[in-house]
Amino acid sequence: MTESQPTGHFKGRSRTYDRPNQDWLCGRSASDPGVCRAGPDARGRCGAAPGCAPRRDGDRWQCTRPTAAGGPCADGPQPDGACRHQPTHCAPRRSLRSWRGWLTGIALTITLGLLVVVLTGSARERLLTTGPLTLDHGVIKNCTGCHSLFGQGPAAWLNAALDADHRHRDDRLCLGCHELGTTPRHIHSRPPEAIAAVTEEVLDGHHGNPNPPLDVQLASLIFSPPDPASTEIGCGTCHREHRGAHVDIRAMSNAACQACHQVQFASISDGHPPFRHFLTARRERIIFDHVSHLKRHFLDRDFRDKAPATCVSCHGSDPTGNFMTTLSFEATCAACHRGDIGGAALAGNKGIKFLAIPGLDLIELKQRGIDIGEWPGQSDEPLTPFMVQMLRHDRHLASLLDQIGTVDMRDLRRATPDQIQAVARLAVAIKRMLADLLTGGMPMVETYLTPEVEHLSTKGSAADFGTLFGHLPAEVVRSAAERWFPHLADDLAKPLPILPATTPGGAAATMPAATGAPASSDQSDILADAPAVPPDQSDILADAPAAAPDQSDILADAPAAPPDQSDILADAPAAAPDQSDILGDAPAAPPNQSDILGGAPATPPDQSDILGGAPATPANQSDILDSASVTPPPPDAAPKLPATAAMPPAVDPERWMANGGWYRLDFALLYRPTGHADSFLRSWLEIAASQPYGQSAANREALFASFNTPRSPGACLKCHSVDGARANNGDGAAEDRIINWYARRFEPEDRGFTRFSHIPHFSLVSQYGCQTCHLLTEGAVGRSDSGFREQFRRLDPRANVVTNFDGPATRTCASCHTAEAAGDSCTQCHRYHVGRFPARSVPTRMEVMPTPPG
Amino acid sequence: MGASVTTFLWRRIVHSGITATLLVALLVVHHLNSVSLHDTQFLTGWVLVGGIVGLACYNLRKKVPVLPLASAAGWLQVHIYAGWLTVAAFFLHTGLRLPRGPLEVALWTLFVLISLSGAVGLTLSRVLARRLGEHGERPIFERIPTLRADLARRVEDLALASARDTLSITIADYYRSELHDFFRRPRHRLAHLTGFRRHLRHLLDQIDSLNRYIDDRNRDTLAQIAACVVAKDNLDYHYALQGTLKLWLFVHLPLAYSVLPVAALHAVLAYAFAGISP
Repeated sequence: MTESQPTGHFKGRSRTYDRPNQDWLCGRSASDPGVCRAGPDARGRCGAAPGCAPRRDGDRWQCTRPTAAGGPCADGPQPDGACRHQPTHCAPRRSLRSWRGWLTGIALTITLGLLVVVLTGSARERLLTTGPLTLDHGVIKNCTGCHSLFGQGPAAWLNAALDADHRHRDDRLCLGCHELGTTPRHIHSRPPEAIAAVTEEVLDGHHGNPNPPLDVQLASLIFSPPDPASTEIGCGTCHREHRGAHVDIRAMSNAACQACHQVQFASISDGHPPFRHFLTARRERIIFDHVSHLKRHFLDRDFRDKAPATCVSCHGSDPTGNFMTTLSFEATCAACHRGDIGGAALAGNKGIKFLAIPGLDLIELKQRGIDIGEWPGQSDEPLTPFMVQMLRHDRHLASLLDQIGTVDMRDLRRATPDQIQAVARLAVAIKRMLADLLTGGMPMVETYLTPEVEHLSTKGSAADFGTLFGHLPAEVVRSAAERWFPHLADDLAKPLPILPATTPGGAAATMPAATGAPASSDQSDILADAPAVPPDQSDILADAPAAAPDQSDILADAPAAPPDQSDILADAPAAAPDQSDILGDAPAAPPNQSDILGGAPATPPDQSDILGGAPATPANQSDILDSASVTPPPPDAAPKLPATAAMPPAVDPERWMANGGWYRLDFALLYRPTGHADSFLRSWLEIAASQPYGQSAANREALFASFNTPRSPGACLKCHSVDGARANNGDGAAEDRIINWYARRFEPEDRGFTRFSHIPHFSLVSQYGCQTCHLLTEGAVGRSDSGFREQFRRLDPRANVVTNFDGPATRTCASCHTAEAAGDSCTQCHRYHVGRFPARSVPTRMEVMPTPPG
Repeated sequence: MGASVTTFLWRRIVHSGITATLLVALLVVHHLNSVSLHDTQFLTGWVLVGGIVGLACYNLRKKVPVLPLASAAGWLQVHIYAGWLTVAAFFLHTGLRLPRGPLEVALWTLFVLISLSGAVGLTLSRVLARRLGEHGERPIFERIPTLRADLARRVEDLALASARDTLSITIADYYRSELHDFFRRPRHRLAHLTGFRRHLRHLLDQIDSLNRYIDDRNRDTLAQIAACVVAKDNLDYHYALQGTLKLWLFVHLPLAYSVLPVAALHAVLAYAFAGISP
């Protein structure tokens, strides 16, 4: 068929092969029939050759043209042997294949050239960016703000790409602005052990299908699943930047959440675990039994008119509208419980004993031959924990207390000589502490409480010495001291009591006698015996030598002449009362038992002075604060009021201080709370709750116990629960007991797993109001075995929690939260980064800065 | 004929099935990768790199025909179906989103153009090859200029001989006015690509109308010229279609090689600055 075609190009042998797969083709024109058989070479040079290479045959040249080329030519070679058909050279042309390769090479070269320009040019950042940043990150003007190696060039990029350890390094640049705690790249930004504990807890209570779905199982086989103990997740894993200014890079898919959450479910309405952690994860901080109040107390006719009308009488939203807070004590509990703090309903002491003169077995001390000087023999007070706390800060006193141990100081018959000696010296120490208070006031006794103040300051408390001493008035101390130790200065001027080597009878006869301190004893021992010679001038309580009275001893007996006017506490001489001593005792007056700060007197009280032991002199009656004689005002200068003597206090000191403050009862100074949030009680409770930082663990327990009984003044711990520190923070070492002074409050720096905003839901509640979601546990009403109060005896706030409410059911939320309505994604209610993340502060130096550009 | 159609259909079913299976496997692995909190873009990125390199190997295979690396036809089949799979990986990689960065726009554009040119080439090779096989004599593309020159010379000789031997210039005039340009270069390329043949009918009608003005000897010459016109039109047809079959590669191949360095830079930047583990 092809033979009949006019072109006849299939006539085979008459045509040459065109070699279209080669780069160069013969350049002769298409009309030129003489396309050479050799064709161009690989470099594009014409390969045309003569028709043949003539062969010499004798004296003749023979044509050797092959048959395919037409056979030997008729003309034959020239006489010189050259072929008669010399070729015409052409300019070979490229084949299409060659042109295609050339074009490909050009395109590749141009591409590489452009890339070099891009990588080395000044517009590199703009050309290599993968897209616009979000608006929040748009202030970052250059790539090195987030990619630290970008400025170092392509070689560094290649190194970084090959270095697996580098890939998360730039996360620190993210964390420079975003505070995510100490373990920001661990799962949920929490320490692995915390996540492990939460995981175990959640899985333990999960009632759904514990088997992970098939794809999760397969994924764990093919790809390494995240290991909570070691996996660190880079910021970019979830937050993809460069996707546009308005893209929410915090958005996460449900699948991303369930990559780790092996117990999976479809939505909140389909398989979501019940909200069991919502209310039972932790007990309330304020001990308030909603059930008993709503069902019993608020129905009582005595309290019915004081009961809150609605939930919002006690609870209100915080400024963000997210969190419902408990209102203040005054707005909620005060109507019924204000009197509890002042101790109105207490049968015993309504104040707490702060300073007390402990009762001592004076008979036994005397029998052992030891003289402690003046001591109220009728006292049977124990040593208060407050005093022990203060005395223990002197190591010698601490050792004395340790020596005394559990010995009852009111019965020393079985005490060892060492214990007798310790009791005697403790008695002197108590006198000296009292003297310190009298002579130096607060500054003198700060050393007793310095560790406490420092400890409280480390805990963020603003408590100071004044708070810890309850702003104790000097007159109260002076009055008490006069009652208890009328000759305190004389007593302290005596040498320290020493147990004689042999005592009349008793076990002490066989015991080694205590000895006084040697002359070279440690001068730092404030209880050491004063040496006979030379006298230690630094000992302000030591006896002053007669020849050279020490003027610095403000407690020493004043010499007969001249009287030391600087001694404001010295007894004023009878002949010339020191008018400058406004707090000084009136001379020669017997102790005034009518002092309302004093205990009930045994003798008929002189009720002319309500604050001090004033003598029954006319001058004393004119000034209730000063027992010294002061000129009375003229009778006509003041309104005619009843004489002070005619206004005896009709109540005892405790009732007199019903609104709080200091008063004396027998041999103790007591403090009655001034009201809710009393700073004195609160500070001492903080100290009592603290982990011992000295060696007074037992006393701290005793101190704490003094607040933690139903009869404790203030009744702080009746409502304020106490947590163990370990249980409270979940992952810390055992530290303090923490007193929950406040109900749960919204802490913007605390980010939990779940978030919920109350305000948007208020319009959705039914006629049941708050109880649409917070259902009262009806079964616990009136039952003593509900365990509600008992749970607060434990330190762990998360153990066996008993709540007044049933948590909201998932179906309540799921009724609105669907994919079509209010949304049902995981991150709508749950956060990923969990922990306490304080807001960043701006480190601005306190100096005048130059005007910022722009 | 029937057997070859069955073979072709069966081959297409098998190859499509294998491609679909691989695509499903890719989707499953992609899902599992995302479930395990990995960045799936690294997975799909490497699939893309592997696909592009594998597709480029087809061209290398053609450059080295001596190696026993299976037939070029087999490689072409792999190239075609692997190309579709790579396109699917590309969509997975980009998430069906348009890129925003200049480099990514360039990379995206290059890949899309490569894919489109490949798809167009595949379509042309299916459609035009069938039409070429159904359209007369099938000359080798590189010989078409020579064959066209032979025809032109032959028609010119016939026209000159007619004028010289019969003293009639009818055919010679017609050749000068109409056929000279027709035989001088390829004509009617667009008409051949679209399948229109009106130009050929127009020429043959003209030649037929000349018969009334010439004697018998010239009618025989005119018949030979008409046969040459048909042959020339057939050459033009093959030249147009075969040229188009070769032309799309002028787009596909340069783009294919240009995408490699851009993709390499993209991978380096992703690993250096993505800040995540693959």
